[in-house]
Amino acid sequence: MGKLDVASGEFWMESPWESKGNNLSAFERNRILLNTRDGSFVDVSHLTKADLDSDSRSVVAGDFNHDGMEDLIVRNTGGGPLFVFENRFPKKHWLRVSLRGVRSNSLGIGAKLKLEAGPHTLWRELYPGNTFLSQMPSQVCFGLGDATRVDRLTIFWPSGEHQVLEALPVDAHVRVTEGEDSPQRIAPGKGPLADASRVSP
Amino acid sequence: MSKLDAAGLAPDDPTRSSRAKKQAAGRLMIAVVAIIVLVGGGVLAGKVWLGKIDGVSALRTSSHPPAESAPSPTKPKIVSAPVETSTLCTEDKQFLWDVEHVAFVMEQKALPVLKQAIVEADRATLASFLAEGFEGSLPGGEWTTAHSDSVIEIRRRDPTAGARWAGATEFVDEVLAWRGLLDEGSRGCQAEIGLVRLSPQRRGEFAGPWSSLWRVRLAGRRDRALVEVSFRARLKLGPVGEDLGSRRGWIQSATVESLQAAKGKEPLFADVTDATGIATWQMHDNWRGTGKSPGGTGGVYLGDIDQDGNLDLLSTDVTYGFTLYCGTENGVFLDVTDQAGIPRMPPRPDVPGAHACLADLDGDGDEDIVLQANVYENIGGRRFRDVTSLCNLQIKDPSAIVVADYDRDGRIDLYETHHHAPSYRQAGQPPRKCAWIDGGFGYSNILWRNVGNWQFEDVTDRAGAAGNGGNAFTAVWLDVNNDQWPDILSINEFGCNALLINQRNGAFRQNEDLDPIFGGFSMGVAAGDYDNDGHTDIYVANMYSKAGNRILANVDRAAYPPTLYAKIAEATTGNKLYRGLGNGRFEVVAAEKALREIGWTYGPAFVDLNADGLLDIYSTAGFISYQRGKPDG
Repeated sequence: MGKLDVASGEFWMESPWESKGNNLSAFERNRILLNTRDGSFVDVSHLTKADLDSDSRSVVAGDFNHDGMEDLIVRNTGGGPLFVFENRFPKKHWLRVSLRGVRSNSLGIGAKLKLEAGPHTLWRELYPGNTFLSQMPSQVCFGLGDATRVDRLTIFWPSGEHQVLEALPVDAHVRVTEGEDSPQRIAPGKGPLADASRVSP
Repeated sequence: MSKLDAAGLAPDDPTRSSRAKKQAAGRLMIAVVAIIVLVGGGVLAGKVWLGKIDGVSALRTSSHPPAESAPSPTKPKIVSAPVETSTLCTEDKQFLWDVEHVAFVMEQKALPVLKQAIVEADRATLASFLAEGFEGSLPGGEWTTAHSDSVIEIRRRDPTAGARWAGATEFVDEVLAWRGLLDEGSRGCQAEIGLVRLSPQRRGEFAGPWSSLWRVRLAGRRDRALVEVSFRARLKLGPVGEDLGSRRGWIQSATVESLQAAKGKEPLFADVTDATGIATWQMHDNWRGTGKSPGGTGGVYLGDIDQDGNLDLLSTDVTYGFTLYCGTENGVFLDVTDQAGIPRMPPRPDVPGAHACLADLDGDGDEDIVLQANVYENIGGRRFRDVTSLCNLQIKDPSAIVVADYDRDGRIDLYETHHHAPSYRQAGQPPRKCAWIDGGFGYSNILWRNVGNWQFEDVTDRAGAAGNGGNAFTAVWLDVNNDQWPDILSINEFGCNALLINQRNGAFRQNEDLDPIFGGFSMGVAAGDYDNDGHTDIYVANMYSKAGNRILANVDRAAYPPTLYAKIAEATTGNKLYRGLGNGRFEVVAAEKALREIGWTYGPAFVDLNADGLLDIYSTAGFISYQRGKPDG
């Protein structure tokens, strides 16, 4: 058979950690898989334009512009170190929940949340996951689709208590305190950390 | 003459790390490495791994075993555990090399011409690749809708619903009809052909017919809409070799096994990076050619430091250090690092890494920060106080720090995972084992129990929470058996992942059922309930490569003990979605329901992108990219 084509980069001999110019699982696109409700996913990567072919390592999600839709931050080792992607899916209804533990830990880490809205029941666990060199926020975002009301939110606190709330707004971020019936609505504002940017410590 | 000889590579060429491993582990290790590099290693990332480091020594030493070397004076002696070993004979190895060479020639010389012909709808050039008497099998049924909403339409044609045979002209017409779903010209369409399989039909008969599997993707636009057409085709080829670039007529038949067309009205995400104020120019980028190409360059950690409803971002970077960004109402991030009292550069330059976590460690209701080996107390959401000297945590070279209250005492505990470097406890001690396929370096994870007042107790041993030393990139906390006690899944680069079930008494018991055969060279993990059945599911990012799958398909499976072959095969299949059954057990979701062939993947996310109440998946991928147009593995 033919000779090794060194000039074209065939079969290189260095450590992948100290590579000097040869591809290794290169230009692979990040993939976005959309849940189709029937237990399967479809690949919509190209349709999102968030299918970077950078060397990506981490992704975290949060609503940075307060439109209720989850935006993304993607961190790469190469090909642009960081990208912020603003969500442009059609706007839907939503409820974002932060927790305040009393008997439980202060941010309710480990709580299980069950939300009922019309025919749909949603289940989430509150863990600020580190999927790789990253951390998700300590909050839970429920996408409600076209539902305009939440029938019931049940919180199974780490303390063992469970709490049922029925009077909940939609398109809102609320903080639920363990044992208190009325959730506090969180309107994004300017907190003390922003002030710190203008004031010397 | 082997290709290695042709390259003039000396057997002592391997890198420092591989040399150290070889010296320390002796023949046993080499035998294992031979398997992994020649099969698993190639499987990991493609042919580039074939020639990688250990492969050189392994290939040579398998026929010329070296004398036992004394352990390196600078490295601890590695204690090897008994592992199942086998290796390929020289002829088998040569066969794999040679087939991969043909794949290389095809990727470099022939496929670019084909791709260009598709993009340009060049009927004559496309037809020239088809042999006289070509037979094609096309999906005969109608397009059916796999998913449709107000902005997305996914249509498929299922070949199993009926196929029709076509001659060369009709086959080319059909492919160009799919091409016609996109705008004309290279601005409207880009083509990719992934070479997933390539084998001589009779082993070793290079001059005879070949079989191949291609993954073809056409992506671009149609007017304003985004369009992607993708199909897989199984091909029979005539003799293929060095002259693939100049010779035509070697595709004898093609059977299209799947066909999908995706259309989106407009991009579903917009890159707004520049408008956010995040200083990406102060972040390491391997593509900028700084000379160093670390496998991980930095992290992104989200929290709400001042609880104002805006998410704040802690950014770490191996070159530029730390930046704390304050989120604002309009999506702009303000750099508050200095004012908040977070050091821009590591306080201890001797502590490498970009690892951090946000957690309320003192229980006062706001998120404190662990940054490398240092701990910072959140003071009123306005600034941070360095409390490292008050805190007895000994975080050292972790791969991740993940938070939970595992004993449900109201205090946040930390789970520190370890990959390539030991924790404080094992620093300077010999790793427990060093087998590649299902071993790892043996560095255990650490469970830190928060006892209050910035004091933590290392309860790893008592809790049985060390994991199995298989090079954990990270871990997730989740409740796998619906008892509301946090369990741990620590994912391993090598071997099976460690699922640790909380026994509600401070101890964990490892569930061995999650990966009965092998994990999948796991690099990232997310947990979430994608089907809303109340049972948390798991998505694990594993390695997958086209080249690796090609190589494995050409391996004589009889060369391996069945259990070892099964592990290698399992290790090549890509990402895994595990559907939770709620009793601590999981089932792996079939590939047709959740794409597994993504690539060399790292941290994924479960996130509801379209706010329909169902968790979707974002999976990162790509290891090291340098030159477009070159073989990409």
